[in-house]
Order: sequence, then structure tokens, then C-alpha cells
Amino acid sequence: MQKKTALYKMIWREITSSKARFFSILFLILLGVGFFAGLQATGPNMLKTADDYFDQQNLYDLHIQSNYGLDEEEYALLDDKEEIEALEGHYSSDVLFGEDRLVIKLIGYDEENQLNQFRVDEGRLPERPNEIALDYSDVITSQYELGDEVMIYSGNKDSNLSDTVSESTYTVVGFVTSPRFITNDSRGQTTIGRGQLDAFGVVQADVFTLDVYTDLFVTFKASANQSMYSDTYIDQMKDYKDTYEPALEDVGTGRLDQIKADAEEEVEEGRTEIEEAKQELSDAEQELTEAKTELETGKEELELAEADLEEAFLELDREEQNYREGVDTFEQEMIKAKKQLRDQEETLEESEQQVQDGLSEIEAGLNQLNEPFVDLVTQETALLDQRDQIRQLNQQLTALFQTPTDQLTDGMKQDWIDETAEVTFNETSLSSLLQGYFNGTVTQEEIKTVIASTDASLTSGISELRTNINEINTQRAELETQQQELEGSLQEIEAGKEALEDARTDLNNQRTETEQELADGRRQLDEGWAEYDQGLSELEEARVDLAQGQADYEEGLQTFNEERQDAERDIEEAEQELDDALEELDTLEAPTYYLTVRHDNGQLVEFEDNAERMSDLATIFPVVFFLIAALVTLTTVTRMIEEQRIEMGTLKALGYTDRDIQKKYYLYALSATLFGAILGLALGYTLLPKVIFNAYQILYNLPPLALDFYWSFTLISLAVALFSSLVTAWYVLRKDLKTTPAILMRPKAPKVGKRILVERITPLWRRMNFMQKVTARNLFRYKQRMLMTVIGISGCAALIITGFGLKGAVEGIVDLQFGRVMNYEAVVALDSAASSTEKEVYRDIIADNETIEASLMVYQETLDANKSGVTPQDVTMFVPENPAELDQFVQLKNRTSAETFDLEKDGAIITEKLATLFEVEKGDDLTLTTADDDALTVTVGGVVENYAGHYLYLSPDIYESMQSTVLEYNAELLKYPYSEDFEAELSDALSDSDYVITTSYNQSMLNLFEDSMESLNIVVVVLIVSAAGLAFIVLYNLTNINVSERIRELSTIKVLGFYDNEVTMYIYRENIILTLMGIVAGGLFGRLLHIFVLDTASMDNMMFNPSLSWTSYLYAAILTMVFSTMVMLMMHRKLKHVDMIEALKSNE
Amino acid sequence: MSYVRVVDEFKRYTMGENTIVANNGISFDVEQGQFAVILGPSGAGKSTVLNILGGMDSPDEGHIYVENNDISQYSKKQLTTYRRDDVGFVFQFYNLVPNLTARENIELASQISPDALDVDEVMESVGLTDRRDNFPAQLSGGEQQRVAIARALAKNPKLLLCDEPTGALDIETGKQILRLLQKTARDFNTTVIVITHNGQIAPMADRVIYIHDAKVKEIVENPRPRSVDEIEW
Repeated sequence: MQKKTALYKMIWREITSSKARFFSILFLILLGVGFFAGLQATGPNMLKTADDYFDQQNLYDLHIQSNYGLDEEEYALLDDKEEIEALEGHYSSDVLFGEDRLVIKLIGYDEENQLNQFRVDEGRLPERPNEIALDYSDVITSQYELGDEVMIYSGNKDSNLSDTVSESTYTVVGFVTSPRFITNDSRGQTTIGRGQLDAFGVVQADVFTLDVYTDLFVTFKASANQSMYSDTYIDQMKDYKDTYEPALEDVGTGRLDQIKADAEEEVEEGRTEIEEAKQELSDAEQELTEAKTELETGKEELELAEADLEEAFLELDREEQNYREGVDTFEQEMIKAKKQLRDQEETLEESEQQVQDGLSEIEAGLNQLNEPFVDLVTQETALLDQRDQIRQLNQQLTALFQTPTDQLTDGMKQDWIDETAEVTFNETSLSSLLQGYFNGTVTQEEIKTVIASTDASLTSGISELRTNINEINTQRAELETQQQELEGSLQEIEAGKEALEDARTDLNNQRTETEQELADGRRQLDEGWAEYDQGLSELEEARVDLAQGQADYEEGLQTFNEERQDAERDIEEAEQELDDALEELDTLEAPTYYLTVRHDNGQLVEFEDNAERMSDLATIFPVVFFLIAALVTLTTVTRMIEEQRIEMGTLKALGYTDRDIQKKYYLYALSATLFGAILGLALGYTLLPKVIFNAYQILYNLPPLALDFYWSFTLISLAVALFSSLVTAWYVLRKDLKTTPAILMRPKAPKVGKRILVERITPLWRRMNFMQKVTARNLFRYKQRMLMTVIGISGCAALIITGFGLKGAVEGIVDLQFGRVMNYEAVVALDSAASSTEKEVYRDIIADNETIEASLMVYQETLDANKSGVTPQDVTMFVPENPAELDQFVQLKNRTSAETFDLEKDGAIITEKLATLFEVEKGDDLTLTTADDDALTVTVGGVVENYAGHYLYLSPDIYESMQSTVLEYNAELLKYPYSEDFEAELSDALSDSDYVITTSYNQSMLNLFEDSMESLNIVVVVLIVSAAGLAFIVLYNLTNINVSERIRELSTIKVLGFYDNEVTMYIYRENIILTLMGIVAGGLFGRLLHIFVLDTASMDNMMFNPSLSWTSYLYAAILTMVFSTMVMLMMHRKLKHVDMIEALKSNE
Repeated sequence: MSYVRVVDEFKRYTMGENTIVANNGISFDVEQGQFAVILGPSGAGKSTVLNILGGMDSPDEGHIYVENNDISQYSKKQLTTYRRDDVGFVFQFYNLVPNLTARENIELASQISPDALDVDEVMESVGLTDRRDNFPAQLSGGEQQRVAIARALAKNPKLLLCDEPTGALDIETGKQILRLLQKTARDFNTTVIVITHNGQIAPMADRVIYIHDAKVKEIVENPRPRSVDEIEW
């Protein structure tokens, strides 16, 4: 093997010396491949992301609901199934929420739950009964924060919240996302409020007080390892669904029997209760009758008692009389007896006085005697004493005298003198005598004579005295005898007194006795009277009692009569109810089971549709894109090879084989293509799906996109890329290499100048200036490249137009829907169960508001439209109270025929997209399902323009003829000139009304809508940017080829003295014309592409505005021209530096 | 003062690490209305001189005066204007625009030139009136070169520069061209400078400048130039 290093060097040099060309091929391929692979991958990536997410959150495969709830029987049936991986019973209930009365689905959550796991976006899941985790959606997060206190309310006036859940106040503890609800704005249908769920909330399962589960969720073993979007999965789930449905219905029949039996038992109980009630009623009547009899007896008794009492009174009165007489007699007798006694007493006292006086006289006499007697006795005694004393002294003196005086001591003498100082005799004192004796002056005889004379005088005094005393004693005795006599009569008087006292005592005793007797009589009498009084008051009491009894009886009677009516009515009603219940029981049907698989969940399907729509877009857009890229690559490669004829010829002449020569071009093309493709794949698989998915994140609550690599798209894009470069190279080379080196080395004859068609139109040709002619001729000289340029530019322009068109189509919806189609501003959902006062208040609010231009009562319900092969659609039905007025609120006009419809005349009018989806026309029948699962079939009277959502407008006549229920208007459409302030005001006013459930404003819907449109916008921006990028590269590349092909010509005019801008314009004039032609062609092509893309990209519940706005064309034109200008500037720089000498030197 | 004066002109090209001196101090004069020939072997630097004279390149050193204007100091724009107004070029390979007819090729030049001559007159003077609407591919080499000369002349240039104008032509046709060029110098009082490696042309020039090894070897005044017909190849 020979070394051919020179050859490889040459290849490398070729690449480095023609960087612009190399990179333009690289970028073309990069854009083509990247765009193709990226867009193709987006759809599958989205599906994979969703599928992974559902697997991760353990989303159910099968969801079972029933109008009877789900009991142990159903659970048991499923629990036995082998194929089931997990089975869980959950609770849920639709309630009103918060001040705005949003309609939310309250879902019970248990830590044990494995299925439909929530993703916690903020905070946590509820851990206590009064905690709630809320939907992480804008509706909620714009109003509530963690820690907020929220209230829920029963959605149904007829039922209490406590029948379903035990708590009504909750603290928000978290925000979560459920795999069951992946869109941001829709939570499905409900039977409360205005029929649409706004959000969901998660509370502990224990909070629910329901007897039966509301939902059973199932996952299957078979689903573990397959994509939920695979056909096998869908088929398998359908099989399970089809198998379980009849099985469940069997269980349901059993449950029905049970329910019937239970109900019959209840009816029986009801009957018993009624009987009891009846019995009670008759008992009460019986009691009343008895009471009446008793009352009458009482009356009689009372009369008798009255008579007795009368008698008793008379008797008592009599006895009282007797008693008074007795007392009088007794008192008179007593006075008489007392008087007698007093007389006797007086007599006795008189005699006693006389005796006493006598006694007193005697006493006085006696007392007169006493004094002299006592004196005499006293004198006698004194005389006796003196005599004794003298006698005694005499003896002592005798003793003394026996003793001589000189023997006596002075002391003894003095004692004698002292002791006898007071003893005197006839005036001579003894002491002085003794003195004299001692002194010897007086003899003993003298003394003894003195003494004996004194004694004798004393004894004569005594005898005299004794005679006087005897006399007095005689007088006294006389007096004492008289005194004794008087005292005897006094004794007699005392005896008389005593007898009198006895008599008085007797009298007193007698009196006491009588008084006792009288008191006894009195007491008896008093007792009699007391008894009488007692009797009397008793009688009075009895009388009052009787009157009370009478009143009670009468009241009782009245009450009874009144209540008997009510009770009888109640009983009658209850009986009626029981009869009804029995009747109903007879007509009672077995529970209906609603089995839904994932593919019945509109949101999941919608997501799939969106992903598939992405894939659809990914088919048409990248194909156009890729085609252009391939076309330009082809042109570039062709040009490159043509430029190198001489080199090829030289190599060939030098003896290199064709293969060697080809190698260079293959390697060149291959390296540019491969690098471009690899970079394109790398960028395409990562960047594009992410950008697009991020846009969809506005609509969906899903985790970040799961990227993936796809061999199919990789191989396809590689194949196309390599084809467009390598096969082109091969083709061009094959042609050139066939010729001999000599021919090759000779320059390829330059394109021959030719007269062009325009020249034949002489007047026109003549009018053109020289440069225009040159340009015109040049244009037609390079027809192939002209075609390429036009195709390339038109393709890009078409892509841009389609991009903007799509944007316009989407944005247009909002304007058309809310500007042209819906002329009302708000829908007020009303509670038909509200009281008439509440309704009146509401009516006044609306009527008094001057800003409101018009209002229309409607019945609103969300229906389901189903058809195999079509995603189930929600259809909003409006039945206006006054069908003639509807066209003031909603435009009822066909979009294409401009025919207007009248609800009164045409009956049922549906919207365009619904008609298209379900393939119905005016005059066809369309069957819809109501929220209660009833079928509603209407004959389409007209199809009208509408862009967002599906609507059915029905006249009340038709509705009522089809539905047995009475039409109750539950909403009102309001029309007023929109202003934010007014809406805030209105909202305030309406929130006070109990009649109003919620108010939805078109303006806020419009805003929401615009948000969701935002996602498509981003896709569109991706399209536009990519298309613009492609336009740029295409223009650059083609211009580059043009320049290099005509470098000699350009050098010539440069040498001729053309200024730089004249040189640029010399070639660019053609480019401008080609660009303009491209734009025009692109406009046509874009229109077609737009229609095709709109068709594939359309959403089920949305009709794009199919008309393509002139601004789309304008933008595309401007963008293309901007790129053209940019390329021109780049070329200008390049041309400025063209070495004209070099170019002109060689022979071509 | 001569009409064209080249004074000490140097031109060097850098090719990688090597510096090639194309013109190494070239000086010569050409008078107005003269038919001058610059003669020298291939690679001697003749074309460089012509390019610089024609305003397609600028010298590294030295001055070039044309009608007393120092074009060596001209900016690119001034050079373009100079080419546009004062210079006519004739190339060895004609360099006609293939997409334009003979007349249009001439118009291409006359359209931009202020003193342009009447296109048809010029065509007549080069004897191409009946070929006016033919495309270059429909013309013979001589005819093409005559168109090229007519294109150069139509501007009514002060200076007509010809780079090997006969190089690609047979002798007879070459003679025709040379005759035309000589006649032009005489009739229009245009200064014509022809570069060639063909020494046989030298006798018909008013002045012959010999260039060898990037230097002027000799300048020969020819007081009585011969006519083309007198020259034998």
C-alpha cells in the first residue's frame, strides 16, 4: 500500500482553507438533524416523562367508582384477583372551599396508601385531622399560603358536611401535586357548583365519615414494565376493565338485594314507628277522656265538701254560743262568792282591831311598870355589890392588921394605898385612913367602926328597896291577867280568819277548776274553728286545682286537637313516604360501576395528544427543514466539486485512481456531515425537547423532562444527512471522473450568456437600466442556483410564516373567542335551592346596577361527548330562559357560510369544533351524556363559530321535552363594558348573596387562556428561531457559492472601477430579487404548510383561527430580508477583500 | 514633467516566512500619448508594476505620479475612483463578462465613467459593430480581446494598461490587436503601456522599459517606432 500522505494533507488543507463552506455544510446538517431529531424526540420524551412519573407515583391502572359507593363486597371480589398488584379503597368528596367557594375534590390520604402518591411541592401532607394539603395550582397558590385557615362547605344544600367529613376547618400544611391531575387548570367534572372542579385538597382519610369507599384504585402486575401509551397496555387494561365490569355488576346485584332487604326492614321499622305514633295518639286521647271524668268527679266531691263544711260551721257557731253563756254564769257566781267572803273578813278585822287596841293598852301599862322596877333592881344590886365589897375589904384588912405596920414594906403599903384610893366612907377615903393608920395616926378600931357603920346603913337601904319591888310586882300580875283574856279573844278571831281563808281557798280552787273546764271548751272550740278554716282553704285549693285541672284539660284538648292534625298528616306523609320508598325499592336498580382506566382520564389523554401533536409537528416541520438543509448541502457539495475540476484532472493525470480522488470529497463531505449530525443530535436530543417541554410545564404539573436517545431518529437523520452530502458527491464525481483528465483540466466552459425571455418584451427591456438588465440576465443564467435559492428561502420563509401563523392562530383564538364569539363578561352560577328572598336580593343587585347592560338566565350543565376513536370531550350546555336573547350574549353565526341561527327556531346549536370532531352536521343527531349519566340526544339545528371549548345551546322547550326534570335556571350571563374596577365591585356585591355560588369572569378566563397559549408560543418561537437560523445559513451558503462561482466576474468589475458597494450590489441585486421571489413563494408554500400544521396541531377542545394574518407574512418577509441583509453585509466584507489580481490572472 | 512617473518603487510579498521582492526600486517615465512597452521574462515583476500603475495594488515604497498625482498615496477608494475614471485595462484572458453581449460588456465600463465615449463609436473604431449583440462565447479570441480593448477605451482613459494582450492569440490576431493599441495611442493621444515577454513587440514602442530581476535594466527611447506590419515574429 502506497502512502498517500499528500492526499490527506490536501484534504485537511481543503477543509481549513474553505472553513466557511465546511462549516456551512456542518451547520446545515446540524440544524437539519438537530431539528429533526429534537422535535421527533420531544413527543416520545414527553410520554416517557409522564409514564415514568406515573410509575413513580404509582398511579392507578384502573379506577372504580359506583353510585352506591364501594363496600367490602367489591373490595373482596378484587382482592382475590391474581393479576392485581395493589388494591386500595380511597375516600373523596367534592366540596366547596374557602371564601370564593371554589369547588374542590377532597381526597382522603392515608400514610399506608401506595397508589396515586402525591408529590409534595411545598410543606407536607396532612398528619392531623384538621390539616389539609392543597393543590399546587395557580388557582390555589395565588390565594393561599402555608398556615392559612380554610373552611369547607357542603356543596349540596340538602346534605350536611358532617355526613361526609368530620372537620370543616383546616390549616394548610402543604401544596401537593397528584398524578391524577396533571394539567394546571382542569380538575374534571363534578355535580356541584358550576360543574367544574377547580382544585383538589388532601386531608387525612380518617376525617371521612363515610361507610363505604368512594373509589377503588387498582394497579396490575402486567403494567409494571410497559409504557402506559403502548397498545399492549391499552388493550390489556381494556380487557381487565371488560372482565371486571360484569363481575362487579354481579356483586352489585347482591348488594342491591342486601340494600333492598335493609330498606324493607327499615320500611317495616318505619311502619312500626307509625303504628306506635298512632297508638300514642289514641293513648293521648284516652288520657284526655279520663282526665275529663276525673275532673267531673272532683267537682262533685267539692260540692259535697262544701256542704259538710257549712254544717260544721253551724255547729261550731252553736257551741260557741253555749260557751259564752257558761263563761258569763261562772263569772257572776264568782263575784257573789267573793263579796260574801269580803264581808266576813271585814267583820273579823273589826273585832281584831278592838282586841289589838286592848292589848296595846295593857302593853303600855306593863311598859310603865318596867322602868321603876328596873331602877329598883339596879339600886338593890348596886347596894348589894357595895356591901359585898366592904365585907371583902374588911376580911383583907383584918389579915393586914394582924401584921404589924412596920413589917410592911413601903411597896406593899403603896399598893394598898393605890388599891383603896377609890374606897370612900362617909366622905372619908379609906386610903387616907390607911395612910393615917400607917402613919399611926388612925387606929385599927377607928377603921373597924367606920366599916361596921357603913355596913349597917347599906343593909337598911336594901330592905327598903325590897318592899318597893314587891309592890310593883303585884301591879304587874293584874295587868298580865287582863292581857291573857284579850289574847284568848284574839285567838278566836284568828280561827274565824282561818275559816274564811279556807272558804277563799275553796272558792279559788273551784274557780280554777271551772276556768280549766272553760279553757278546754275554748280550745276544743278553737280547734273546731281551725279545722273548719282548714277545710275551707282545702276546699279553696281543691277549687283552684279543679279550675287548673279544667284549664289543663282544655289546653291539652286543644293541643291534642292541633297536634293530632299535624301528627295525622305526618303519619300520612310517612306512610306515603314508606309507600314511595317501597315503590322506589321495587324500581331500584343495581349499582352502576364506573370503571376508568388511565386512558379514560381526559388529562392524561390530552397530554398524550399534545405529545403526539408535537410528534406531528415534528414530522412536517423538520422534514421541510431537513429537505432545505439537504438541498443546500447538495448545492454546496456540487459547487465544491465543480470548482476543483482542474485539481481532479491533475490528480487523475498524475495517476491517482478515481477512488483516491473521490476519497477527498467523500471525506470532506463525511466529516462535515458527521460532525454536523453528531452535534445536531446532541443538541437536538437535549435542548429542543427541554425547551418545548418547559413550555408545556405551564400547562402540566410534571417533573422535569426525561431525556432519551432514539436510534430510529438518529439513523434516519444520519441517513438523510449522509445521503444529501455523500450521494451528491458520488453523483457529481462519477460524472466528472468519467471524463478524461485533459477535459477535466480544461476549464469548464463558462455558462454561456443567453438572451432571456424578458429581452423579447422590448418595451420592458428598453425601460430597464443597464444594471437591471445585467441582473435580469444573470438571474436566468444560473437557473439551478436561482431555483435552489428560491426554494431555500421560500422554505425558510414558509416555516417562519407557519410559525407566526401558528402563533397568530393560537393568539387569535383569544381575541376571537372573547371579542367576537362571547359577548358576555361573566357567568354567575346560582344556587337554585336558595330561598326566594335570597333570589330577590340578587335580582335587585343586578337590576340596580347601571353598568350591567343585559343579563340572561340560563341552565348550565357540563355534558360528556363520547365517541369511539375520539377523545371524550366536555361540552358546556346553555339552556337560556329567553332563547331569543341568546344572540346578544353569544354570536350564533356559522363561520364559513355566515348564516346566523336563532335558538327558538333552530333548537339545538353546537359549536364548530364539536361538530368537526364528532362529524355531525346540521340535521344530524348528537348524543351527549349528562353528569347523572343520562343520555341526551339532540338534533343539530346549527353549527356556529367558536374557538375555545365546546358548547351546546338548547332552547328550554327542547330541553324540557327531553328531560323529565323541571328546568331550574342555575346561572346568569352578564354583559357589561369591561373594567377591572367594575369587576372587583361586582364581585364584592355578588359575594354577599347566598344565591350566588360562584362568578366566573371571561376576563380571568382570557388571562388563564393566554397563559396556556404561552406554551404553544414557545414552541412557535423555537420554530421561528430555527427557521430563521436556517434561512440565514441557506442565504449565506448560496450567496457564498454565487460569489465564489463568479469571483472572476466580480474581480473584473472591480478592476473596471466599481466601488465596493457597487460590486456588492452587482451580485446582491440578484440576491435581493431571489429573496423577494423566495418570500413570495414562501408565502404560498407557507399558507399550505400552515393549513397542514394547523390540522395536525389542533387541540380537541380548541379551534385555531385558520385565517393567516398578513402580519405573519410581513414578519416572515421582514425576517428573511433582515437575514438577507446580514448575509449581504458579510458578503460585502468578503468582497472588499477579494484579490482581483489573483482572480484575473488565471485562465478559467 | 512626464505624464507617468514611477520613482523608486518597491513591492514585496510575504509568502509564509519568505519575502519575495517583486519590484526592487523601479523608476521610469512615460510621456503622454506614448506607446510604451515593458519587457521582461516571466516573474521579473512586470505585472506588479502594471498592477500598481493601474491602481489595483499599492507600492511599499516609492511614488507613482500619473498626471502629477501621486497615486501611491491614494486610499483604496481613491484608487477605485482612479481606476474608474483614468485607467483602462486589457487582460491576457480578456475577462469579459460572459453573460453580457459585446456591447453590454463595453457599456459596463462606460456606464460608470464620467468622460465615457460613445459606445457605438468605440465599437466601430475596434471594428466590431456587426458583433455588438454577440455574447463573448460567440466571439473569437481576437474579437473578445477587441471587445476588451473597446471596454477599456470606452471610458476614455488617460492610461491604457495591457497585460500580455496578445499572449492568448495567434500571431495574426495579435498583430491586429497591437495595431489597434498603437492606433489608439496615436488617435486618442492615450498613453498606452503594454507588458509582454515578447521582445518582438519592442520595436513598435515609443519607449521600451526592460525589467529583469525586479529592477529596471534599461530604458530605450525609440525615436521612430515601426508599425506593426513591419515587425516579423
